[in-house]
This record gives sequence, structure tokens and C-alpha cells, in this order.
Amino acid sequence: MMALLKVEDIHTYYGDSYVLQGVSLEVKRGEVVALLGRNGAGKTTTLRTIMGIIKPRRGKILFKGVDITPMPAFKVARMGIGYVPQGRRLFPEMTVLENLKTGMRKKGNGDKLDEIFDLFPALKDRLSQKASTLSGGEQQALSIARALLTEPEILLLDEPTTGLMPLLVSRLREVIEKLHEDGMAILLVEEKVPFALSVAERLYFMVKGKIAYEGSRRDLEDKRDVFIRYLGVKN
Amino acid sequence: MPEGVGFILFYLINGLIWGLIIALISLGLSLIFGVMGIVNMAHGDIYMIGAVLSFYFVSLFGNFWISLLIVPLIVALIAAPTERFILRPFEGHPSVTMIATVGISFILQQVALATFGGIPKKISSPWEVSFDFLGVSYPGYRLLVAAISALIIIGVWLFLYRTSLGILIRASMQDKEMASAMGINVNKVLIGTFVLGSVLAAIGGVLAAPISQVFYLMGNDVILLCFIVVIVGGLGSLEGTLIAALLLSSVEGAMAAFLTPTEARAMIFIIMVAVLMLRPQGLFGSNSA
Repeated sequence: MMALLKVEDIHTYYGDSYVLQGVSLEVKRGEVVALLGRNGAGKTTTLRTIMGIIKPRRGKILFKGVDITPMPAFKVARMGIGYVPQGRRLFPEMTVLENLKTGMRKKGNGDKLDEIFDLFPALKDRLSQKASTLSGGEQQALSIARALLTEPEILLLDEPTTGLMPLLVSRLREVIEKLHEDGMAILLVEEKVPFALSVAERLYFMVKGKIAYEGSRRDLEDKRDVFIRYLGVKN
Repeated sequence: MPEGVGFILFYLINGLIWGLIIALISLGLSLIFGVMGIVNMAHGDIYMIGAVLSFYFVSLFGNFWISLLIVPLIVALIAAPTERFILRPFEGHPSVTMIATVGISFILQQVALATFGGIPKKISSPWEVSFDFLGVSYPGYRLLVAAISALIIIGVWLFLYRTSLGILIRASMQDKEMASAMGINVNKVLIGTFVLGSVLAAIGGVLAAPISQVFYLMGNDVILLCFIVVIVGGLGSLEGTLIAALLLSSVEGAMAAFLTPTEARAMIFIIMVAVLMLRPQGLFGSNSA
């Protein structure tokens, strides 16, 4: 099967610092893939490069077979890539409903809003509230909901569990499982290894701007040393 | 000359009406700064161009109201390529765009000087009616200007807060990068904002033309007041801009009853200094601004 998203040997710089030193990865349709690594390994930069927010100096990003590398972020988003950034990045001075509306590009997707409320019932009672007044869990829900309203085929999730209570982390796991059942592809950047292992079918390990290891969840079951070697953690 | 309470009220209303025009122009300045991060030093000259073009249209057609319709369109046609070809290449470099707008300001002033000339001219009032009010006869056109300005401000407000296009503009104002990642074509938002902001200044110029004199340097006076309004209101805060415009202009108007215009303007500076000492972020600015 052709990969939905294929990243081919991308090299990205922040000014002079050489952050991504040849990253290649792929996500198939409907697949949940995790990208793990220590702080500063380049996980967030990988997502930002896919999104078109920063441009790689070398390499290619293909989505549905189309080269999206030169596209501005808004076109990448319209191609069908939804982005849930680190730290939520809501529009703080706008209401919950207005935040949701920024994602509703296509006309007549009011039904879509009902689906969103099925997934995140708490948002429905907060529509006229300013986004900045929401709790951490609600903000994360809104950030995901907003991205889903762009009707993506793949969702890029950057550290969605940060700052969430354990109860909300398992709630987030349910949401990801539900999206997976509905056929959504997900590329998840995560520092919480158990969480990533519980939702992802395939995992990449990043070290210093490169993919150091790739394997399925099953491959990793008896390879605990991988976690120690690449992440410095015991799982 | 009016007397007593009517006397002060006369000046206060004068200030308030002027405040509505200033609010209209400042709203444009505030939008351009808030969305684009551009300190538009040419904003006052776009106001001047509005007045100058209005003068020409009134001489040509003998009808002021036609100019109120056409001039904003012409200014929109000038503003769009200005954003695209002069400001866009320097996007994200506030000091460079600011210098670029100083250049635009000089060009507009010199073009006006070369064509319109250096002598102030007057447009006769398009509505020669006056109302008696507390024993004071007040020119109807000024009240009409206040009403038109208020309507346009309300219209812009509804556009920004009640339409989906307005949501996209406000989203871009708060986080351009994230807006883009949501599929919003931020470049279109930028050009639209610059056009809208410039049109507001031009409408201000057209409306003010019959009240004040049309002069190629008339923008200098206004831009100063608009900057004070935007700073006192809080950078990037639209409601702050509106309230500060009305507040400062009424104060200046009322002060004009007792003081010379220069002294009244000095009072505005004193208020600005006082506000900035107590609230450095301005009346409605956020702490991070």
C-alpha cells in the first residue's frame, strides 16, 4: 500500500543549527505511528517541517503522492493534514466556538460539529467561553477538535499528554482509539513512552536529528534495551 | 458665541464628533498594527489623500456624496498593490516595514504637493443645515459625520466579531503561524487588512474634508493623535482604540473651551504620560504587549 505521508531524507536548519539531519519516515492510511525521542531530538521540528511552517533545505515530503515540500502551511493544511501543536496554541482571545470555526473551511459541515461534540462533550457547554479560560484538558480537546474540523486524513499530534492528569490521559487514549477506528491516520510525537506504546502500531525513535530505530509495537515487546539505548528510560 | 453650560457642551460635542472620526482612522491603524505588526507611518497621509481626492471629485461632479463612495474604492486599489509589492517583501521585519511606510508617507505628501499644491483649500459643507441645541446653533453636517462614522465603526465591529471572515482576521491577529496551519491563507488576510485599514483612513479624510481644510500636510496632525489613541488604548486592542479615541477627543474638545488648541493638545500628551506610567500596556492592552 502506498504511504499516505512519506518523508524522504529531510534536512532542516534553524538559522545555523542543523536540527534535522536526514529524517525519513512514513505513515500509511489509517495507521497510528509514534515518534519518540529525548528533548531536542528534533521531533517537533519534524512535525513543523511536514506542516510547511519551516522549509527543509534538502529532502522531500509526499502526501497522497503529491510533493508538498514547497507548499505554504495553509495549503498543506487544506491538502488534509491536521496539526495539533505543542502547547495547544489556541486563539486565546476568541471563544471556543470561534476557535472551532477557524477550522471549518468547507461550507455546510455543521454535522461535523455534532461529531466533534460526541467526541468532546465538555466543549458543547463552553462554546461562548474564551479559550484562555478553559482547563488544560479542555484546551487540549479544543486544539484536537479544531484540527479535526479541517477534515484531515492525518493528524499530527505534538505531545498531547503534556500537563494532563492521568484520568485525562486515558480519556485522550480513548479519543485516539476512536479516531483510529474511524480510519484516521495519526503521527504522534510523545515523551510518555507507555502512552505511545498503548496507542501506536509502529514507532520511530529519534536521536539528534536522525531516525535511530524503527519497529512495530510487537517488535519492541521483547526489546527493552531499545528504550534504554535511545531514550535512556526503562519501560 | 454660545455661553455657560451650552458653551462647554458645544466644545464637548465638537470633541466627541472629532473623536468618532479619529476612532475611525485609529481603528484602521490599530488593525494594521494588530494583524500585520506594521507601524504605518503613512496612515495619516492616506487620510490626507482621501480628503484631496474628495476635493477633486467635488470640483468635478459637484457632488460630495459621490466622492464618499468612489474615493474609498480608489484608495483600496492603491493600498492592495502597496501591501503586496512594498510591504510584503519585508513581512516580519517591523523596523524595515516602518521605514518603508515613512517612504510611502513622503511619496504621498509630495504627489499631493505637486498636483494639489501647497495652499489649503476648503470644501463647502454638503449639508447646509443647522440644529438649535441648548441655545447653540450646530452645523448638521457635523452631526451627520458623527452618525456615518459611528455606523461604519459598528459595521467594522460586526464584520470582525460576527462574520467568519472576521474570525479569520482575528485568528491571524493572535497567532499567524497557527492560523496558517489551520488552512487560513494569511497572505490574503494581510492584504485584506491593509486595504480595510487604509479605506477607513480614507473615509475619515473624505468626511473630515468639509470640516477642516484640505492640505497636503493635514495627515501629520491626525497621525500623531491616532498614535496617541492607539498607545493609550493599548497596542493591538480594538476596543481600547475606540474608547481612547472618544475619551481623548472629548477631553481635548472640552479643554479647548478654556485653553488654546496647543495647550489642549498638551493635555492629551499629559494624559498619555499618566496612563503609560500607571498602565504601561495601555488601557486595554495585554501585559505581554
